[in-house]
Amino acid sequence: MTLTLLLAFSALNINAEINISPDIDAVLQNYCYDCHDDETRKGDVNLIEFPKLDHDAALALLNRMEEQVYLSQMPPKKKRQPTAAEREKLLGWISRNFESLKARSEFREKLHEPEFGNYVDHDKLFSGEIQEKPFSPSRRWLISPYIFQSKIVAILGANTRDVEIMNPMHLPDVSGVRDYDNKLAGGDHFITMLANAKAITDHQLGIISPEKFKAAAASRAGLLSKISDYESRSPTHPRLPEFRNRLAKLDNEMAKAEAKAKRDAKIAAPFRTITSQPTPPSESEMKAAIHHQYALVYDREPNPTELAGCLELLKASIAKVGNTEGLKRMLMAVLLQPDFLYRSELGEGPEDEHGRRRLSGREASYAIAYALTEKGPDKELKQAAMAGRLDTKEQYQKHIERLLASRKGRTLIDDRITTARTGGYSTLQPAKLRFFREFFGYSKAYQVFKDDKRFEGATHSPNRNRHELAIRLMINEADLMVDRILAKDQNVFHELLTTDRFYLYHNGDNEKAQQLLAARKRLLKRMSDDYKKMTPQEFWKTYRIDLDAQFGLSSRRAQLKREDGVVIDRLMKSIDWDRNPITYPKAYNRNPRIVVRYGMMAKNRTAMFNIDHNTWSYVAEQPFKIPNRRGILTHPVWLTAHSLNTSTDPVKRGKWVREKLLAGFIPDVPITVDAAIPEDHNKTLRQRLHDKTKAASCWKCHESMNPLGYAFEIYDDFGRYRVKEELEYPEHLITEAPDKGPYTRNTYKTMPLDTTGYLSGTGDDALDGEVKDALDLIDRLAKSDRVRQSILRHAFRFFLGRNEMLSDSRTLIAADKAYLESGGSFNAVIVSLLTSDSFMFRKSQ
Amino acid sequence: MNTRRDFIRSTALGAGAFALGVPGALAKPRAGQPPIRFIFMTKSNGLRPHELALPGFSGEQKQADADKNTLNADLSQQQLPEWMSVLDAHKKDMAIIQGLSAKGIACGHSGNQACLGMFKTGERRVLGNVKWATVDVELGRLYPSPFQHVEVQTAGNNRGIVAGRAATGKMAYNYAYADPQTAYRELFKSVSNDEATRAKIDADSLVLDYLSNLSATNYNNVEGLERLKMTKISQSIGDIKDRDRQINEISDQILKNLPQLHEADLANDRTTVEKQETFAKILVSAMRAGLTNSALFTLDTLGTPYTGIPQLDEGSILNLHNLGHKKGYAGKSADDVRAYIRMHHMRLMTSMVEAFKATPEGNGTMFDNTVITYQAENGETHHSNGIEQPIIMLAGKNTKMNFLGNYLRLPGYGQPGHKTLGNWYTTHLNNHGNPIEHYGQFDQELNKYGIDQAGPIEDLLV
Repeated sequence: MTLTLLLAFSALNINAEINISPDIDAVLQNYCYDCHDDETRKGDVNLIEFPKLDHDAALALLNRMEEQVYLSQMPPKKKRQPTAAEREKLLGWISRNFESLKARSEFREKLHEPEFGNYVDHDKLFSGEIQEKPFSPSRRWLISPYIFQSKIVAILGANTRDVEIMNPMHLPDVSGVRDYDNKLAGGDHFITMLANAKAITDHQLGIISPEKFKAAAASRAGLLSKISDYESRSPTHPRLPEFRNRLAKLDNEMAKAEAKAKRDAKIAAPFRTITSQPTPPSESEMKAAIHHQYALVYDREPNPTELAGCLELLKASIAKVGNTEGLKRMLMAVLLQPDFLYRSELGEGPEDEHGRRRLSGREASYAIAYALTEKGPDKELKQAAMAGRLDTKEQYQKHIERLLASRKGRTLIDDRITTARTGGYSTLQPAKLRFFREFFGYSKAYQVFKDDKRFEGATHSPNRNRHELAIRLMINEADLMVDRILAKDQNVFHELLTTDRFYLYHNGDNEKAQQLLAARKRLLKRMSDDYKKMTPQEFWKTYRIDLDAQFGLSSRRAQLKREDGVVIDRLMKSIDWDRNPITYPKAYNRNPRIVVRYGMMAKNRTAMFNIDHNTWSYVAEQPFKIPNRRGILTHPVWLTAHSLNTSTDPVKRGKWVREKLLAGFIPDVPITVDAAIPEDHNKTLRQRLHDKTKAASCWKCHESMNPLGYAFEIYDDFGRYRVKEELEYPEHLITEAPDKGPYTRNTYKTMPLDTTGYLSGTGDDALDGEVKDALDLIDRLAKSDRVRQSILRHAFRFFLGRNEMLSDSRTLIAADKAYLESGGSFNAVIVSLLTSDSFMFRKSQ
Repeated sequence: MNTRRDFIRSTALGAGAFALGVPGALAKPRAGQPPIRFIFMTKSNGLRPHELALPGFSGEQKQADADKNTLNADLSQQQLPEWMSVLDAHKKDMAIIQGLSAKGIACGHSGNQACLGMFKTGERRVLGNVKWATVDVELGRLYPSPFQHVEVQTAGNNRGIVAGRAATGKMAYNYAYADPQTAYRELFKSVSNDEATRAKIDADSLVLDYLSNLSATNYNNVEGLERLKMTKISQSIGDIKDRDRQINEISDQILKNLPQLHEADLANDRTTVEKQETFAKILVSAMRAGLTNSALFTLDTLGTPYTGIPQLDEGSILNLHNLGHKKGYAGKSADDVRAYIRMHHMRLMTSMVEAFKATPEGNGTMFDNTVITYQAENGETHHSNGIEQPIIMLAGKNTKMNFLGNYLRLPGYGQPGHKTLGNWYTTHLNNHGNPIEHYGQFDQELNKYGIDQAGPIEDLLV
């Protein structure tokens, strides 16, 4: 029997037929109609009603069906399941219906998004049964903000600061790989590039800061007008000399600025040829300018279409606005081409017997350079591409290994968390560190705003002890920790997950730290001796800067205040000579005055590691062991990044582990869900969350997250280790911290914590099961094959810019093998991925 | 001899002719009705609630105001504070709103986009925290115009086109004109009678034509997402061309409404106050001309070197940050200086109100269809925590504001019925046709008080 479902297309005013062939009808009959017919209508879905649905409703139902069938979420687990072949058949039927309805499958589109990467069957991916040759789709990939910046530097040289450029590239602020090839440039990008192109071309043509001259000219006009106005009131008006002086000064400045601009302008010869002549240039001169701009911006010749188009534009523009302004239009046009915003990986090399096209040498040189350095290709890569020596895996490997071993120049990893006071972390290998900081998502910690008073209270100098500042410094130290593990390149994943050694108030330079510590102890000793000999005022004058750095006393005042004297007296009498004072090698490498003001700031961040800075004996040799911690997932920055403003977030923490380490997936939150956890002032967060999610309809998703997240309840939302949970409500307040005062916070009544959880989904019976707490959980995760493979899948996404397909199976298996055989080298993984067919070959989709 | 208008037209000032600013949707005026215009004026250093209290409050009213309890006073029966007195003639069109909070997004010295976007951008202006378009941009979208939104600012020492304090979408800063000369040139250059400028505009069109043709060849052989990437760029170019076409269509209207400026008004040596006055004229003209229906006017930021305040000696520069730390200036106390600045802001506001009232539109005046609000960008003081976010509003009779003529104090922070700036913006968006359930991030701390933060302020819905 064939059912014909007629769908009325109200919007398009057409009818479409959906044919349900007997074999499809049989599948639906066997597995679906029981729950989704006229009578049962479970989940408000009635498949029998299909013919009555209008266009939008029919499409919505098809989308819903496809997702459920694809993810094996329907039929429910306890019901009889269709075979793999039956599922494939049903999916094929759904797919054909989308085609006949001329509609796009929302679910298939979602599969390109980062958060749906895990929808590809993990076991199948690593089973070895997939025989398809890997490839990536032919593509243009929107450049990252880092690549954009490097392109600007390549064009402007060292003069980027002189030119106002806005970076239109932004990556989503999410935990996980962020730079995907499915992002599009839109109107905002184009508008921004218009302004950028104008600024760049002004600079290229030596029209340095035209606004400046225009402004000066207008200012001059304004002054003349004022002088004329005042002269009309009285030729001897007392304000006239001032205006005349300003005019003379302005004229002088203008003359100097113009002379300097002319002197400094470095106009390329092909451009100067055009701008310096009064008559229209010849065609060959125009072509030379076009070639020059393409070489500068794209490192290539213009193609015939571009050359012809630019030539026509240049001629017409010059005819309208003269040589310089006309040339400027052509230069802008080149900068505004889509190639500026997109990296081209179409596959311009030869086609193989599987219908795949190899990247051309030029494409490969960019792909390798962007993947590892976030910059265009270096000299060696360019030469290799030109000479046809960038075709084979071995040739790729040679350059990849060379770049991975490079020690040239450090890259600031994140200017968003960098402050002028503290600087930021810079690395030799930006791509490697960026992958792990994105994968773990710990840098998001600075966006989770915390109430300073809940942190450690304010001091008389609150800016120095704000949580916002402390967390930035902690992120720098987490970067340092990750980077050092990457530099060792042994058992990288295991180390990242399980190391008990961390950095705190350190920049990784142990030798310097030792020296400074010794110097600092000597200083304290000297202070102690001098305190006995000097008057308080002399002592203050001599040591106020050191007192500021060491004890946080404000050094701004030249005169000692009486209350400061009391504090100093107490401090000097309480110095513990066995304790190492806090020393911050990074700060001491900087301007000493900055050290004084800011070098020792946010000392209270030690509290995030449960260390009291007042009693801590500083450890100069770092990383050092910190109790109750195991790897990056117990670092305060990861814990903060995966918390809420005022509480922990077991769901977020559990979801992260499920998706990032166990290659699992959590379906979208249904729109009907009220995700707020109910308030109950006498229960722990875990108890309240459990109450909220225990219903079967919630638990079917939450069972994949909560039992993992609960284990992290041994840390609060600042990442502090704890054994009890404080009930932070007014009625449970025990002691209230004053608004001003040193390092105190409110204390509240507490309740005992339940930190047990449950690990499932490793595929290893020896690991799955109840866990005592996060430390136990992490130990087990670190031993799991699935966790290792899950990290590799994310590395694939980072370096390939897309989700893996089943056809990438061989690439992933090879990367896994490379990691294991190299003793856990991440460099080996990168070499494997970047010499894979997935990286080297393209196929049109 | 050149007339004053000729000067203005020829002062298109030469430089490039690509007008920046996000192109608006194709303008489709409401059938038979003029659009509603919105001007948001923001200041730095906070707006302290007690400064808005009416001097003639009874003892009971005074107490209610100080205790942050609900209060409603008829402005027509009250005297305005001295610094607002310039608005005396407009009291029936005016409202003072107190008690709204923005604690969830407030951030010390400056919230940057936060006060208009209700997301916490932070003092360091973290782009990633820009979650969506700010409310001024959203309201502008409800009344389409060639320039969907115009932003001007006297912030810092900026000049030219700079990143704005409004946002056009997630992680997308708006553009702002940082000096009157640039604003004037960018907004009105299309009607320049200067031949050189006209030629530059034509040459710019050639660039767009070239890019259109090129992008067509780029997507000839690709399908699906790859085709979409290229067509999206074509669309962007098309949008700019559309915007230019719309501007051409209203060129007569633009010409009629050129701002009445003297050459010197556009000079960069003007004082801060003079620049603000010119900006006000430019905004009024842009709205009269139909170029835009929404604007953000950033009066100052903490980095603005203030000059030209009438009550203060000319010649030196007022540092707003010092003022926030209670440092007086020119022999005047910090409180006095703050009042002088606000007084000047009120004069600016009044000048715009009066200009709109003097412009006939439909059966009334343009002001009938105009909303001007004045608020601090960071909350209630120099280091704000967002407990209060006072607002002064002037609005015409067609603007769906049912609380004009009143001093309105809503329940204080944490009290039952307390409302946030998010509720306030949701109300206006709903009133003007955007059905959003709630605009802005929620304040986590308010949850402790069991306050339902979602939705509009029901009493103010029209």
